[in-house]
Amino acid sequence: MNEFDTSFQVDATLIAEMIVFGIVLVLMSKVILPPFRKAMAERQAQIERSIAATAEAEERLAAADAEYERHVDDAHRQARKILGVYEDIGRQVLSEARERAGAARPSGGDYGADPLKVKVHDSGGE
Amino acid sequence: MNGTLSASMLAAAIVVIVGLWASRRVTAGVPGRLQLTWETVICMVERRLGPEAAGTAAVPLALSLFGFLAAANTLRVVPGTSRWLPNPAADLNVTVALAAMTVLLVHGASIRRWGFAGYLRRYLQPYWWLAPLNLLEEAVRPLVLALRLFGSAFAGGLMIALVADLVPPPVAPLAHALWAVFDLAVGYMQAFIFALLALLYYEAAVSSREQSLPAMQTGTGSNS
Repeated sequence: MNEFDTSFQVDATLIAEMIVFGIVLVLMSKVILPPFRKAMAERQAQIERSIAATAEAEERLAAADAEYERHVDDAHRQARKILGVYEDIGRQVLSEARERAGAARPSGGDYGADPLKVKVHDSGGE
Repeated sequence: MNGTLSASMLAAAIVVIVGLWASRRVTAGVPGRLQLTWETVICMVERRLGPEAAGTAAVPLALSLFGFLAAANTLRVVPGTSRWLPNPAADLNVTVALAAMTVLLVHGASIRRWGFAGYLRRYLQPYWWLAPLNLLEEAVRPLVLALRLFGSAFAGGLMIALVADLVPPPVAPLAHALWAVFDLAVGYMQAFIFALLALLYYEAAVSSREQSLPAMQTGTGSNS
């Protein structure tokens, strides 16, 4: 049968092997792994900063949305107010115009129910 | 210097060189494949042992054991090296040395974690009269670690010799190659098992008995 290398004897090689593995272990823990840990910690910090920035941006977005809604509501309110004022003015102008038209209407003529309408009709006819 | 020691030193050098090469290319940005592999293993070990394992010897121990054994396992299938670089795991000196280093670190971690008195007190748990069994368990652990790896490597070498002798010469190279591939996979598996067992022993040494032996504590009441 072919020979293959194996050893059942424990001798001084054991100590040498422990030293060799000990050197690997020390280099692994003191030199090789720290850069990985540092990079992982930095990345973790970056991720946490990004999450915090995202949360802050979401808060600012919510505040901006609320501000926008408030401005839109204000604008609607002001628009309704202005519209109300000018509707009153319009009604007042119309009422005055009707009064003036009623006063200026010649007596005896049949000009219909709306004097303003008649007047407009008349002026268009000329 | 004997062949085993040469092979061990070469495997150790490979682990250190690969580790240094990888650590010099580490970036906090997007990691490459090699960095990702290292970080995944580090995270797996730390997640297994909890956040308190971050600064301990558990991660370097597991990585060194797996890296060393995997490198030694790979070396022996490099063509032309089998004559002067025997499989280190097939030498009892190597497996006993790795088991001894593991056990030293595990007991050291246990003493640091619990103090010397607490470390000794753990042998009296869950009952003082179980101390002989606990001591026997501690004595058996390095033997289990060393002999499992040695047995696997020894059997692999023996099978390769048997294949070379028993298989007819025309198909012997093919049979040898097939067995070598299988044996390589077994070697990686044994390296993983060795590192995993070392981690389990480490975890048992630094965690409380309640955490490490939950089944033992179930329904047994308080310990001594």
